[in-house]
Amino acid sequence: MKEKSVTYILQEQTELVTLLSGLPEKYTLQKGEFSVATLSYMDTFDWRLYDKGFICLRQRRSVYVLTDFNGENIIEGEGPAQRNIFPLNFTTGVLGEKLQSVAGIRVLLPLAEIVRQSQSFQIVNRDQKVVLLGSFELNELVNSEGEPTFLSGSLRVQGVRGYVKILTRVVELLQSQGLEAGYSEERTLRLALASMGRKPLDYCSQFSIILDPAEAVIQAAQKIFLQLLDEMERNVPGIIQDIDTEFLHDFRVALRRTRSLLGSIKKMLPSADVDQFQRGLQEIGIATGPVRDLDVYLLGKKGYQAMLPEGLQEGLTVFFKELSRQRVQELRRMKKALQSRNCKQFLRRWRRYVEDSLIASAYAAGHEPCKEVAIKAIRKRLRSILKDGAGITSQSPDAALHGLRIQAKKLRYLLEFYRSLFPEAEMNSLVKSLKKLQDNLGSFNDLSVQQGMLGQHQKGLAGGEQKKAVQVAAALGGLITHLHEEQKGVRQEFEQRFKQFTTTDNRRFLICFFNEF
Amino acid sequence: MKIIAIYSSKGGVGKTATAVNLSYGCARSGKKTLLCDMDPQGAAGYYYRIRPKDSFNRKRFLKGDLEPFIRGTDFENLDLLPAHFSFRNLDIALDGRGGSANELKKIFTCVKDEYDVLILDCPPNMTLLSENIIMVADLVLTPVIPTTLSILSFAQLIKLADKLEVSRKKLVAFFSMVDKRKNMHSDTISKFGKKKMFLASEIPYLADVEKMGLFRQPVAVSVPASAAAMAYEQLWLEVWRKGSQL
Ligand SMILES: Nc1ncnc2c1ncn2[C@@H]1O[C@H](COP(=O)(O)OP(=O)(O)O)[C@@H](O)[C@H]1O
Ligand SMILES: [Mg+2]
Repeated sequence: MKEKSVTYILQEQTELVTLLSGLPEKYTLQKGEFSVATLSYMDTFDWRLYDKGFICLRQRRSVYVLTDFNGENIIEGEGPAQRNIFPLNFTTGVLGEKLQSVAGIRVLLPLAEIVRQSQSFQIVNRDQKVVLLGSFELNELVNSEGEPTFLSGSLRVQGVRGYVKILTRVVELLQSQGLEAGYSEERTLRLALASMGRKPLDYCSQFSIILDPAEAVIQAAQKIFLQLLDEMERNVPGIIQDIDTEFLHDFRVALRRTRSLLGSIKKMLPSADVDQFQRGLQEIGIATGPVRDLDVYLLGKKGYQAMLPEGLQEGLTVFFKELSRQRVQELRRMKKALQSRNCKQFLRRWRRYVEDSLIASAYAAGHEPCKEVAIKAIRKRLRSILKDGAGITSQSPDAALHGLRIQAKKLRYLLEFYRSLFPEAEMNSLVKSLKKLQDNLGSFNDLSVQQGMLGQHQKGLAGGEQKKAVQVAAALGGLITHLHEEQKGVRQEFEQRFKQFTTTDNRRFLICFFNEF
Repeated sequence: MKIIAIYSSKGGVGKTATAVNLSYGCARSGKKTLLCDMDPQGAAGYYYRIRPKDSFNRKRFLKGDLEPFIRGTDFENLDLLPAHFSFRNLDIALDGRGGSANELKKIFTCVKDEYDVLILDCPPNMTLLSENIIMVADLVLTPVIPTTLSILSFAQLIKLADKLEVSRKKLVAFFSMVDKRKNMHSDTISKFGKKKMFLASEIPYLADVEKMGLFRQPVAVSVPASAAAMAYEQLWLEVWRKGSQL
């Protein structure tokens, strides 16, 4: 019976009967269900739902709905009742699956709370036949004193098949009162966020910055440093509360980017400054490393389980329990380090330095246009990767691959920092093929790090409960063997991947593009 | 799309009451349902409070131009194509088109993708239109008041099906407006009820069904959980089971 629906935005508090008071006489407005509910908008810290066009609302303690920006195409379901929720903890149903596929391993956080009054209604003709359906919504914000203020409203009308006339009439009626169609749910979310000084997508883990080709490189660096520092600082509360693993991950990526950029411009600055800050940044890196490493293993639990036969699973379970226990300890240590006066002071000092002294301290080289510096740096890095990579054969030591991985990572950071200075298409294709190479090198490295770590654990197993230790040792042995095999495969793939990297557009990029300058 | 025709050559046996209540049950079970009112009296449309559009007529119907004239009922998944006064001559018109028993099939092709089930509320007669209905339907459901006369008219239908070389399996009957206090009713049911063509479900003679004209709603809506609502629910389930076996 349902036809297309249109949603009109209400800019101010009004009443349904007022809006529809101009209906032709033969039609009657009938009110249906009325409800009042407190609703919380939920999303991940990095807006994964919003980014994909979804809005999640917690309706009651454990009832959730997922809608599109217009509040339609609803999926409803039961979920956990905690304040912050893991999509993975939705055990059943379409909603859980959808949330998991969009939010992944990130936790959904309550972002804003509103009170919604909904009134459904219908319009009937002289035969008392329903010829139009609708719902009327008023959303309010409630302050700490419990006083409501109007936030937004909407009027949705939905025609009934074969009864177009009345729909057209109502649409005319609403338009004549200045109402416009819009995405009601998205608008309400935006307004609720604005009341708290926020807006959708105000955090993004993907680094992006627009630079002016002519500005001094040190000025560009200042902008990038500040953006990275903001990113680090914004992730700290989530790390301390241990909301999900990605706060720490993003924090560490921003930290590494900072260190990489500082390294690449070190000749433009007094070495004492650079050394001092590199050391401080490195310390933070060291303090946050163990938890991240453990997170990586714990997140990969399913993968490890899949590597082992049934008989070795029990040892693996014991091993993972041990890792979780270690994480509790390491987390405590890391929190202490991040909340220490030392660390806070260092970050404050770094900010002050970047804001006030960086530009003034830079030598002449720092005042060259950033595009020129970028070209030189990228060209140098790209050339040396092409040269080193070409020299790697199946006989080369593992260290050669590790070296290349680090170079590739540095190139990647350079490309990310300076992306806005180059034509998009060429940049995208270079980044894409570099990414493929990095995947190979990264897997190779991860696999050897994992083997090393598992080996360490195996050695440390002496003592304790004999039977358990044997079980765990067997499981770890199994994993190491599996990982070793996998690593061999990755290594074999390297040459192929590298050839792809050299034969794709990158040489062209290098020659055509950089030689212009 | 399954087509279920509610058909009897006799009037006043409960065809429209059945079509209205079964179509509601069908839609409630989640199937996209179209109730097509073929009777120029327009009773099915009346029960759903739906009038035909002014521009609708027999010509449009015969052209298979149905889509613009379908209207939504007040219930999810249920639409209705109202009858038009000009349908009273549908027979003659069909005859004019060559007298084929397959005309209706062509007419309904335009809705076959949109609906899971098409329910036809048929006018009482035995003409070319009836032949068309028997040909096009996957199931011909006949309400039979438990009297000798009604049984006879059902027997006529069987003959017609044989003449058209249509499988007898399509023909299904049930006892309608049953009043067990009447000897004739209980006698007829005990005599014919066991026959394979008769469903186990019966629709008793109930005031709630009679009052449908007052409420203008299916009984499951006007008097939910009443004996009438349950009887039609039961009937729908059995019809659907039967239809799925075909
Ligand atoms: N089970 C029933 N109990 C009581 N009255 C019924 C029942 N079925 C139908 N009626 C009434 O009998 C009359 C004829 O029914 P209807 O469904 O219109 O028959 P048809 O469509 O076969 O002509 C209507 O007034 C209707 O309300
Ligand atoms: Mg009738």
